[in-house]
Amino acid sequence: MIEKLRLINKDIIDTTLDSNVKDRHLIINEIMEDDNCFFKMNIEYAYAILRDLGIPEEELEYIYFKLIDPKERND
Amino acid sequence: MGYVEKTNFEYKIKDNSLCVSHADYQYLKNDKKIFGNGISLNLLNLILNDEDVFNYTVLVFSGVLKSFDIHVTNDNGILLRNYISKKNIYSAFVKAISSGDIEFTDITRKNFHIFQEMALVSFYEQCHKNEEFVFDIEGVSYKFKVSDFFELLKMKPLELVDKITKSDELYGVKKEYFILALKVYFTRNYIASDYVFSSSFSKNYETLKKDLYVDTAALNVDYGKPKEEIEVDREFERYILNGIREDFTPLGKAVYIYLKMCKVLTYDEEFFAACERGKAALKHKNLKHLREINLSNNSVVCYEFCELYAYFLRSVGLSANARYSNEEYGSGHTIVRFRAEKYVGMADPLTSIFQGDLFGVKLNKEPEGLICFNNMAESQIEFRNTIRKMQEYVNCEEQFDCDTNIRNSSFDDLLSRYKGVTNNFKEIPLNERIATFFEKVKTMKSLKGIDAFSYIMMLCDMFFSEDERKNNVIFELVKTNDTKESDKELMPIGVLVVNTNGFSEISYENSYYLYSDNEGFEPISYYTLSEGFQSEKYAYRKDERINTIPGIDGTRGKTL
Repeated sequence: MIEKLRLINKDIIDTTLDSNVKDRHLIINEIMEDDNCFFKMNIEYAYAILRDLGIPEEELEYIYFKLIDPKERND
Repeated sequence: MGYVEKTNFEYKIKDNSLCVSHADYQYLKNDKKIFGNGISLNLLNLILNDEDVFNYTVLVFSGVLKSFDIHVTNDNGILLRNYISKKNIYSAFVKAISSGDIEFTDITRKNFHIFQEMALVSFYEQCHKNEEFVFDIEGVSYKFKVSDFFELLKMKPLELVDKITKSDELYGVKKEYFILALKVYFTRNYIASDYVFSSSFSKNYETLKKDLYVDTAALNVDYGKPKEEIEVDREFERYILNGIREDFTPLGKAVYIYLKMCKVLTYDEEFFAACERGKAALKHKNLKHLREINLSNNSVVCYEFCELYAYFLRSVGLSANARYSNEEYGSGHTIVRFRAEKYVGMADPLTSIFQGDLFGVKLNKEPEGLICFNNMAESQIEFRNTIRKMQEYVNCEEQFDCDTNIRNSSFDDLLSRYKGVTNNFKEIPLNERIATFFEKVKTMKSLKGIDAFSYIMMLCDMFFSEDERKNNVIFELVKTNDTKESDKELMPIGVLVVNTNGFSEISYENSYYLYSDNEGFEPISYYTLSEGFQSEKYAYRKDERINTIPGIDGTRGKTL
């Protein structure tokens, strides 16, 4: 799961022409270098990152639950 | 009577010591000039000038006697003893001479030069240069020439480092063996404590002693056999050991086994609920219970984990043994000491019940209970690298693909920076977070018992702020004797208390829930919960009467 999010983030970094957007997603890239990052932040940060990655509001909870479930396989 | 600026000063050399009365000892001690370690100018002058005391001191400096002993006596015998090393006496002389407090005569100058010669390590070398030192290393007896030890230590420091790093052998034996023999020889003969080294000699000695370039930590380390060999479930043993590949190093095997065990075993919740006492603890004190541990009966306590771990390490050819804090199985905390080739290590899976490796490894955290005791920095790094490599392997096996990283404070900095550049950070009202928390716990299927409680506690940290965990949401573990399983006397049970407005003294304004593996969170009224405490169906785990559950007074009722 987190690997998919990394690919989405990388895509944004590679395609955006807006330097503010790029800076933001470079920070997200650094945060997500740690495979356990979602265990280390509170839910509000997690949701903010997922929103920045384009996850629709109605899917935030579902994706977040997958990210913080230790038995879920990250595809 | 000798040279002392005091009338009626009495002393004698008897039984290899300087005997003085209490009053005269005070005189010796309470001089206006003290040169470290309580050695006064009076004593130094006594040594230099009095023939008997000088001769006695020569015996100390030559190594015939271990130390300069002062016995303070009265009519009833010895009141106290003061042992002074020859190195301290020599240091005191050097300070006294530098400060100009000693005025030499021809005789006292000559006497001092005798001490000076005998204080240096070269004196020891001269006396022992033709000797051999016989020492067993890894079960084989070796002979070492003492002169070779000194030849190596007298090299220039850079040349010594070059010599020990570029060759595998020193003086015809493995360099690790030679250096270990040198260290043992110097220690057994108190050479470093009794003799003065030049600065380069000292530097070389420290280089070898601290294993800066050559690792000798594991040589001759053998943890022996346990008092009683245990029996282990064969299927469980196969499960733990089958994944070991032929190309694993001995250390790799030790780490692999540890990680596998932490993944499949869990802390015994009944034992936890009972605070490690009473009937719940009894079965664990019997070694025979170890053969009952298997993949489905996987609850253990620290000494069981350690006995099993030591057993598995021995079965793959390593030296390992469990160490008990109270020297008896089943009492006190237990760890395992092991040797894997050149590494000497320790395993402690339960540094804490909720934060230790027995839970943390399941979440792919880097194990903190595997410690390397080698001094050499390179060995320490290799040890940690082996842990990381084995974690990747075990995670692939278990299809966990979270890597592990130790949290550091720069992660919080990253989050702060991120908050400053995003418009998508939105505060989620507490009641919504509580609802999401309940939803998440409902989906939690794979964790049971202590692992489930640990995970819920972790969710509380992620969903609620520190203030909220004090004033709005509390998750506490208590114990209950209302167990569904007939063979358990006590079980832990989770109590959740929620109040979005802040905990109230009016108890019906708080919401209470009980957590169990089968039911998840179920609401319970304050009165039912309180009655449960009153009737001793529930009780706080700790003996201290701390009211951590709002509205539940733990001072009434006994602890179970």
